[in-house]
Amino acid sequence: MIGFPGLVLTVVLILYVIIKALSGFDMAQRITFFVGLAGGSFFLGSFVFGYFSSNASGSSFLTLPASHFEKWLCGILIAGVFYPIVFLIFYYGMDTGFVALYHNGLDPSSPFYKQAYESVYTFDLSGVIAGNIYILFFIYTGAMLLGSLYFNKVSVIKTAIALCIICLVIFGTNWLFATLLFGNIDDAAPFNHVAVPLGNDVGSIELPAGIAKVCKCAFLYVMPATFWILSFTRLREKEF
Amino acid sequence: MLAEFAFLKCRIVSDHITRKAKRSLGIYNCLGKELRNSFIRLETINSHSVYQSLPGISAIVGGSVYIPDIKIILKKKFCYYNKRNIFTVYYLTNTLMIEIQNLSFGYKRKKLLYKNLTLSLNVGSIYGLLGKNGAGKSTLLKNFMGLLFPTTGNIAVNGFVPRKRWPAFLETIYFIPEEVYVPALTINGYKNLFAPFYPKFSEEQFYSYLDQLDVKDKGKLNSLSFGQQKKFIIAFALACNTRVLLLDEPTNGLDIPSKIKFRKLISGVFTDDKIIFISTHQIRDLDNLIDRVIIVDNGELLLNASISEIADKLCFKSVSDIPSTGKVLYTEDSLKGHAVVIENTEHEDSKINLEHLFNAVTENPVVAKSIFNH
Repeated sequence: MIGFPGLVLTVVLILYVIIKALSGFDMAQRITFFVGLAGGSFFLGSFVFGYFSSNASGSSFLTLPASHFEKWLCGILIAGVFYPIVFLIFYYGMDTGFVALYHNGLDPSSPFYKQAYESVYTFDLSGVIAGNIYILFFIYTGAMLLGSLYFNKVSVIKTAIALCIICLVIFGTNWLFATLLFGNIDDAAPFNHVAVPLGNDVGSIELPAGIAKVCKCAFLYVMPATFWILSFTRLREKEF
Repeated sequence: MLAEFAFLKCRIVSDHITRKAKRSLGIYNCLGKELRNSFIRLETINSHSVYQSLPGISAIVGGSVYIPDIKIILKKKFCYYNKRNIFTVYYLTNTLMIEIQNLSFGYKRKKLLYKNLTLSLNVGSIYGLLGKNGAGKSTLLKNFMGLLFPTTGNIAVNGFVPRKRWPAFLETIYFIPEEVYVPALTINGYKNLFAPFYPKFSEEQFYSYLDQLDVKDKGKLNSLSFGQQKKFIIAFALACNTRVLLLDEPTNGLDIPSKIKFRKLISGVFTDDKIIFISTHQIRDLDNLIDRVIIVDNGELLLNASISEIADKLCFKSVSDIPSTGKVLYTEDSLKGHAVVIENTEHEDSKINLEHLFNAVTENPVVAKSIFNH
């Protein structure tokens, strides 16, 4: 349980260095933030309730004299609170360090100094991209916690497959309906917009503001909360 | 069943229970009676479920309710109610520990492993649960423990409904599965982490049991052999001093000296306020250890009898010719002729052979039931 976060943080560091070298800071920051937070927590979630891979450990976990809520809370605290805090501290330190190194490595007398300096900044942890990754973190972690209580063996793979199927179904259904309604379409993001080609241009059909707000709210709050709460219900009803 | 319990003249009647009336109901006749660490039994005219209004106390219809502390009870008028039901409350003696009523269970709804199993297990006995492979021995233990939930019927263990897995219930019961799990901790680390969950855990006993079972502190527990891990868990379980101890194939993986030590240890720690329930197919490991035998087969309870009752009703002997009269339940060719299990009509003394008993009961369930009046 302690080794795994250490491993994830090491992988994040290595990934950051490699992607930075290949594609620059911007890409490295985004990818490693996603991999470390949403991906790391997803895998950690499988460890938290991973006792059900064997008869012995599953029985041992369920028969420990603690309430369902206490057991669930332990899982939530590890995957949903402690790990993200550790990761964010690590990520902030790592990103700041690399960016500072880059800035210090620039030649102030260069004519492109200002341009080069301003092209790289630390990742905005309260920005839009980070916000989207936070949502994915909540969804993935909740799904994994739930998945590890539904699938006893290789829960990571099974949950990942289940998530992929759900995404494909959502995207596929959305695409199908959009195609049926608007004919030739360019792009269709579920519950967000449909891009329709108009000559050489692309027009965007968006949901009415009220409905869009409801969909966004469902995606932001209802879906993650459902996964997290369902994992508690499932733990209570878990037979082994 | 009820003959075992003292009736307390406690009958609560109500035909029209309103919210207000619920509060007025109470087990008035229990007031002033000693209920500490006792059980009460709830019975309804029809078999609808009983709503529970007392925190920390669970109840099932026809089941027993464990009363952990007299102070809670006597200061409150507590009520068990159900719409248009009439309740009769019995005061039980402090003997019943596990009660199963009409239990049906199956891993698939259409293929039930147990059908309408009714069984009561009292404190002060070491039970041996015998059955063929796949007969449902481990399943029954898991139902006791709340790891599996009955399809229909009720189970009460220590007055609790196991499926709720309340900490107060789990503190009173320890289950050792066939395959044990030990984390990557040292013996002391394990004790420090898990012992606080069991209020009656005794550190002194723990180390003494480890010593008796020859478990040495050799680093992390998960690096020990399977047998050593199992012995460690047995020592820990016994030191927890839970009232119910469920052991599923406890001697699997133990060497011969360890099996003997295990038997000695179990008989040594057993006290009259406990139940030890051992499920095994290695019948010889239970010789001279158990005092009651339960045999299940095809989801049916074939035998639930004490060793003395078995010795009283069956005769295990070797004969040169198989008797033509009387109920012969089992025969087996041996060097001395034939080993037989027959009805003990002559009141002969014989040593029980559990293997022969098991074969006799599973091969002739109807005759066995008629002899034991099941």
